[in-house]
Formats: sequence, structure tokens, C-alpha cells
Amino acid sequence: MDRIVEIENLSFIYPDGCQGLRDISLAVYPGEDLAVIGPNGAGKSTLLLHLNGILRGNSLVRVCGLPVEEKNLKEIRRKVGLVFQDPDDQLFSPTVFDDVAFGPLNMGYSESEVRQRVAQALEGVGLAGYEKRSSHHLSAGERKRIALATVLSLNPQLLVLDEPTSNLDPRSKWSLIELLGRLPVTKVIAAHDLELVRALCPRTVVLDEGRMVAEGSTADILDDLSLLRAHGLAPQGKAIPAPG
Amino acid sequence: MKHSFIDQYSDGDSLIHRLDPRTKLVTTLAFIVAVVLTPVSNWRAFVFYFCLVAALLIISRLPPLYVLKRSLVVFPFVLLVAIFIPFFNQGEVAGSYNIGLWRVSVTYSGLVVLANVVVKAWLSILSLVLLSATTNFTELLKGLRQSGVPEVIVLILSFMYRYVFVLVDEMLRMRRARDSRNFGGGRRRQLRTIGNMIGILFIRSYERGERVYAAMLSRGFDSQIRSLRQLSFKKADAYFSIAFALALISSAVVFWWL
Repeated sequence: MDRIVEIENLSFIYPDGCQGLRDISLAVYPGEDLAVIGPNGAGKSTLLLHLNGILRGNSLVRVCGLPVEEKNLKEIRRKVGLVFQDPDDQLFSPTVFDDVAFGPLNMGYSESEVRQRVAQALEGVGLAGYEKRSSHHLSAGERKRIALATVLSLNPQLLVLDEPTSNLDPRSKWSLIELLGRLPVTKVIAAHDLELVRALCPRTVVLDEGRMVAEGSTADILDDLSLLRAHGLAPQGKAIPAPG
Repeated sequence: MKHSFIDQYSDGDSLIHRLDPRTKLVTTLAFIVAVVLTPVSNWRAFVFYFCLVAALLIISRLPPLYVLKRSLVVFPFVLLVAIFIPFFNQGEVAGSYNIGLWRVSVTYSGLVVLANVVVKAWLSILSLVLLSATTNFTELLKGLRQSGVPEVIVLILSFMYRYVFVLVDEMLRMRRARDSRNFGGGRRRQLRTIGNMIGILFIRSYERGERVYAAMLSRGFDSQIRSLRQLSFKKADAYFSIAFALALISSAVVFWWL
């Protein structure tokens, strides 16, 4: 298995007739960190939701060698950790422990293994000992980390992150980026934050209006000002220097 | 934003705080049943119930003012329901008044029924304040789950507790945005704006529900709810339950004899 994700000619139309994705072909290789960038409404989140079968389009997506279909969903959701943009969506339990234990419990692990995985996952995001806290008492940065811990407790082979640094102040943002950089797992990251992309991901794809409009090394793409301008990722005027 | 939480003071420490949530749930329920079933003529029994719950409140070291405030919250509802009883009950007339065209009379038995409703409601609420202020909400949910309350209901309560503050925040932000744009104008327009806000809040909650469900599915949720069971019944729980049950039973017997 030389590819963790294989997508060929994937299109997706939302039930209300909105075209979410058009003819996307994409491969993700083990160990790499891939960025998905694009303006609002480009289809980034829609694409991410295909990676663990929450949404399913017209063509088959293969994840970790398994086709994304009903009978493989449980296995795929164990291998793919999806972190949503808003931690308030991801953290729905009364305590941090319940949230981090939710995945392992659904996988039917034993009590001692669940406890061990929760402790490890919290340790991994630098928040050991937070088990009994309630998530609505935590800061935005802590919530993002706990949301990450809720999928790390499943030891995923692929980490899928939707805007991991949104709503964070620079300090929390950079400490989260450093944390993500240390995690030895394949990552697909959807982001507007080009600083994050430059810091973490060697390869980038650009989506716009559901189409994949560019793909290549992050340095090449982020230096291609006319491409970034064409897809609303860089300032139009010359007065403000482009990011990165 | 900061809110006062339902289970404020529940992280305190006292004999009552340390009891198993199931013990507290069952005794609270037993207390309320006893209060509701006691005939109104037995006023001594109500004095006894009050002393019982007051003693427990003292042991739990809750601030008295907080308890009083909390217990008064339900009064508008109780009064709204019960205020007309004295006017509709048959019996000896305590006083009658002419208000315009109407002639209204208040009866003694009606007043007794009103007092009955108010006293019983207040005692029940006091015991519930005691329960909620000495039990962490999470523990309470665990207690409910292990006392055999259906998992779905426990889950609904748990979501309610988790998201009520998120929704209140959303509501406050919307109100600020509205006020910063000079909310004013006629009454009709104001009502329309408030109606729109409620509608938007509803749609947002619905959409959030869908995202939360997607987050649950992503972590392998298959409509079966699992949890680790970790409550233990201690000696103190046994003593407390027995003492409480004896107090209730003996009061029933004693006041029945009197």
C-alpha cells in the first residue's frame, strides 16, 4: 500500500443541488503532510468529510487500502481521525475524559485500555490531568488541543484537520503548530492560514468552486502570486505585501 | 463569557457532597413523595420536613442566601397556577369583594389548598436545590444512568447541560450585535427583530446538531451508547439512606397517630 488516500474523479452534489466537489483526483502518501487551501466555500470541508465516509460522492474513495463503503466504515473511522473546526462541535460530553474516551469506547476496547489511551492522548497534547474538567470551562487553545486528543486516543493512521488554528491567538496558534509538527502521523490539513501551511506542509493543493485548480510543492504555490490572487488567497492590491 | 452554572457549589466538600449521587437521587425522590402525600391538616409534619431539609442544608455548608434565592425562582410559576384556587373553591367564605361588575369571594378551604400547594412546592424545591448544589452534574448523570434511567434520556440531559451555555453565548452575541446597531423603533419592529433572532438561534442549533452528529460518527458512533461504570456505594451511603428512610417513616407514623 503506497497511498493512504486515493481519490479518482470524485464529484459531490449536496441534497439542495449545490455542487460541492467537481472531478477531484488526489492521492495522499504515507508520512506526508498535505495542505488543502482555497477561499470560503471552495469545498475544503466537503472534501475532508469524504475521507471518513461522512459524505459519499459518485466515485469510490480508498483510505488505507479500504474502499469507503458501509461495511468498512468502522475500520476507516478508527484509522482516520477527523478534527472539526469548531471544538464545540467535537466536544459534546460533560467532561474531557468522556470526550476523549468516546472513540475508544465505541471501538469496544476494555476499560483499562480506554483509560490508558485517554491518559496517553491527553499527555500527547500536553494536557495531562485534564480528565475531570468540563470543556466549556476551557480556553480556546485548550479546547482545540482536547479536540485533537479525542481522535489521537484512537491512534489514527491519518489525521484530518479542518482549520486547526482558527480563532487562536498567535501564541496558542504557534504552540499548536509545533505540537502538530511533532506528531508522527500523515496529515491532511484544510486551512486559510498560510503561515500554518508554510510551517507544516511540504505539499499543497488549491481548491476553488469545488475544483482542484493547482497542486504542487507549498513553496512553489505560495510564491505564485498570480495564482493566489486569482483564487482569493492573496491581497489584490500591491500596497499590502503577500503573506508568507 | 461567564455564566452561573446549574451545579454551582457542587465542587464543595461536606458529608452530603461525598455521598453517592444515587443515594441523593433516591432520598430526594422519597422526600418529595413524602411531602406531596402528607395531608395538609398535618402541619406538624411539614415543620418536621422543613427541619429535616434545613439540617441537611446546614450540614452541606451551602450559603443560605444562595439556597433561598435559588428556591424562590419557581415561585412565579407556582403562584401563577395556584393563585386562583381560593376563588374557585366551595366552602365557608373568608371574605368577598366587589370589583366592578364582579363579585369575588375567597373561601377558607381555598386558602388552605393554596397554602398546601405553596408549602409543598417550596419544600420540594429546597430538596432539589440541595441535590443540585451538592452534586456535580456529571456525577448526577452517572447516578441516573446507573439507577436504570434510559440511556437516551441521560444523553439528552447531558447534551442539554453541555450546550445550554454555548447557546446562551450565541444569544448574547446576537443581542450585542443588535444593540450596537441601535435597536429601537416601534414595538412592532422590535417584536419582529426578536422573532427573527429566535428563528436564527433555532436554525443555528439545528445545524450545530448536524455537525455534532458528524463528529460523533467520525469517532465510530453506531447508535449504541457506551460508558465506563465507576460509582461505588460506600458505607456512609448506607448509613445516610437508612437514617433518612427512618426519619421519613417515623414522621409518617408519629404524625398519623397525633
